[in-house]
Amino acid sequence: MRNPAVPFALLISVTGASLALALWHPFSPSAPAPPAGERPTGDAGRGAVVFAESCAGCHGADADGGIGPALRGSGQTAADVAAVVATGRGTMPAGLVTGRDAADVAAYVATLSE
Amino acid sequence: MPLADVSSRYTDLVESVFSTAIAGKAWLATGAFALAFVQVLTASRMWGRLEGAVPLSFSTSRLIHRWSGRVALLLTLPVFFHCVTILGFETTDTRVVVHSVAGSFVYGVVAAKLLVIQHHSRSYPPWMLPLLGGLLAAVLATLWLTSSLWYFTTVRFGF
Repeated sequence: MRNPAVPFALLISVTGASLALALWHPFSPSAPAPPAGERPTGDAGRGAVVFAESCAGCHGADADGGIGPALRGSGQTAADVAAVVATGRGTMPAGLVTGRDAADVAAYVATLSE
Repeated sequence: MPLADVSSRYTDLVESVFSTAIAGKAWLATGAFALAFVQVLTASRMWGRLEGAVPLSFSTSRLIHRWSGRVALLLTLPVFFHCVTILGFETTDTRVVVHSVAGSFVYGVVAAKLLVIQHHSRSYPPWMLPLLGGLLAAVLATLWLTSSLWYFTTVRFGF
């Protein structure tokens, strides 16, 4: 009979490695809020998640519009989007998402705007 | 290749099939969850349970169990890649914390289960394999409930 502790040791080891990788998340470079006047450089992949959680309720899951206007094909740059997110527009409050989330979602929306 | 490009390329690749990267992950996770259910049914049959509900022979159940497991594992890989290497461990709210913790466990449980199978389950106590299999199904169910179900019910149900 083999030692039943071995599979659990492996479980803990691999779980620890997964956790360490998740804390590192190497393919998501941090995107600090850019200084005023500079183009924001966010992570569009992560911005898609922020969009789904914070923006899709009004702008639609595909950004085709809903309560809020359509963003897909709107021609907005990431800087345009970041400015609206920061200052708000219409019924959309200012600072709905901030910091890295704002930069990321701006980068994502910019990819839809093209 | 700059690290940020990996994220963009992943998004481009997934969006060649699905409307968004999140929708793609939601459906891949749903596929893995459905196959996990098949795993539970066929494993139960292999252990002499649910003979009435699962009218399959032992060998057929074993074949389906092995292939559903392999396919389920493949389906989780792109989800794991995006969640772990791009998004990382998040603590935004309770749902996200539960999802992050459960996600950290999934391949640990997979590795332990594969080790037990590799060394022939009879070399271990008889409760070991059902425990690990049940734990894996529970982890996958938790992950699906805190991601795909949330997405389908609060954001959008579609591809």
